[in-house]
Amino acid sequence: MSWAAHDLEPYVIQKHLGRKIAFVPLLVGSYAPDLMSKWFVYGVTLVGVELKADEPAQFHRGWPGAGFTHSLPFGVLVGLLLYLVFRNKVVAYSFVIGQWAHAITDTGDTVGSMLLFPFTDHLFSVGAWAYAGQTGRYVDAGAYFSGLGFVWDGIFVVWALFSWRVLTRGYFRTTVMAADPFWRWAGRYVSETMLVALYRASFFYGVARWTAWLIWAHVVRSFAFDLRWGGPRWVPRVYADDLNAAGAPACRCAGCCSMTPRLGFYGLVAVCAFAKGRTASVRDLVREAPKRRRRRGRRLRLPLKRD
Amino acid sequence: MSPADVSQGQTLVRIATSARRPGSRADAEPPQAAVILAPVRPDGSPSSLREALSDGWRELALYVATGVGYVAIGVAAVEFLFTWVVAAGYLVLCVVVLPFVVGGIRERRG
Repeated sequence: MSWAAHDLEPYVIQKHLGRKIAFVPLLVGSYAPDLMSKWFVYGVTLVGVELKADEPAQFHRGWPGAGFTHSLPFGVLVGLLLYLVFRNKVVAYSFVIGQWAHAITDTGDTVGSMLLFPFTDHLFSVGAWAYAGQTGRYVDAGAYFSGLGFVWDGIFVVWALFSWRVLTRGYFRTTVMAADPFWRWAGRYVSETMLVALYRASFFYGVARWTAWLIWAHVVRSFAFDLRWGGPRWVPRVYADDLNAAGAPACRCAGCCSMTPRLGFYGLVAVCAFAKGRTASVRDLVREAPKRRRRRGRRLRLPLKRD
Repeated sequence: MSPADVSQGQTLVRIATSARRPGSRADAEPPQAAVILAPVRPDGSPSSLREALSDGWRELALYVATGVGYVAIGVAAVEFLFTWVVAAGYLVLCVVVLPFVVGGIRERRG
């Protein structure tokens, strides 16, 4: 997991894509995978009842659980739904880019994410910093800001600061408002100063929170720095291999960890239908397949006749 | 800043007009065009960091002060750092609502 990268990535992406991207769907996509599940990972107490996942890492990133929200096909699926609702492809692919950025970023910790779910529930992990969500929010924060996680976030803090142009009022007016229908709609009800403040809110949140947690972890508390790969090693970590092994005890490769063949088949058909660029039924897809073969055959015969 | 100083792909926009206090010496002189022009890029952002700071240093100072306050409160009570909604609300309060209220009070007094 990342504590500030998900707030700052949208600004960096915005800098590089300009008017080709809509900021609000991009930001929502960047937050989407953790939007509904993170509270249950750390747990909350309501009216004396504690609500918390029995196995937080499994729930957060695995299957069964909410780990499917960290898969690339999930982003595509929600993007398609957004396209059906708004009929705006910029909104749809902006969400997909934001969600993919989140899912790929989360492969940096020791648990990783199920990037290719539902085709496989294998957790892809780089393992650069420790996943310690099961220890609770405070220890997790201390561990994250003591290992390579805070360095990763620091890269995005610096990168976002270098992208300062996207934070200016002129850029917001000329580029962000032009590309994103949300701001044009909101501009009818609130002042531009308010809109600009809301647009900058995630940048503010990411940079300020990164600074505050860093001070809290090493000045207020005394968590020890450990910048080794997969660290800090003083915290109990969860590994992708543990969760992958629980799903497929015989073999840990991506193929053996795959879901039931039927689900994989349905997913493959859905991808084929999407690649074909049709919203019609799969039956139409199958009907047209022989015609294509005939055309190809004709094309191949033509040069032979000339000879 | 003259139009000749502007590089290719940039345009000049009006960023400020000089304000004259009533009763000042300048008031007695004939009115002149007093518009400050600044080059901007096609995406609407200023051409350089210097231009951006000269235009909006007050706004930047307000945001930095707000950020320092957020960090201070957050270090003292980390629950303040938990959610985006609290941060956005705090930001809007500090950079939109409070300046608006203070400006209104000043106008009434003035």
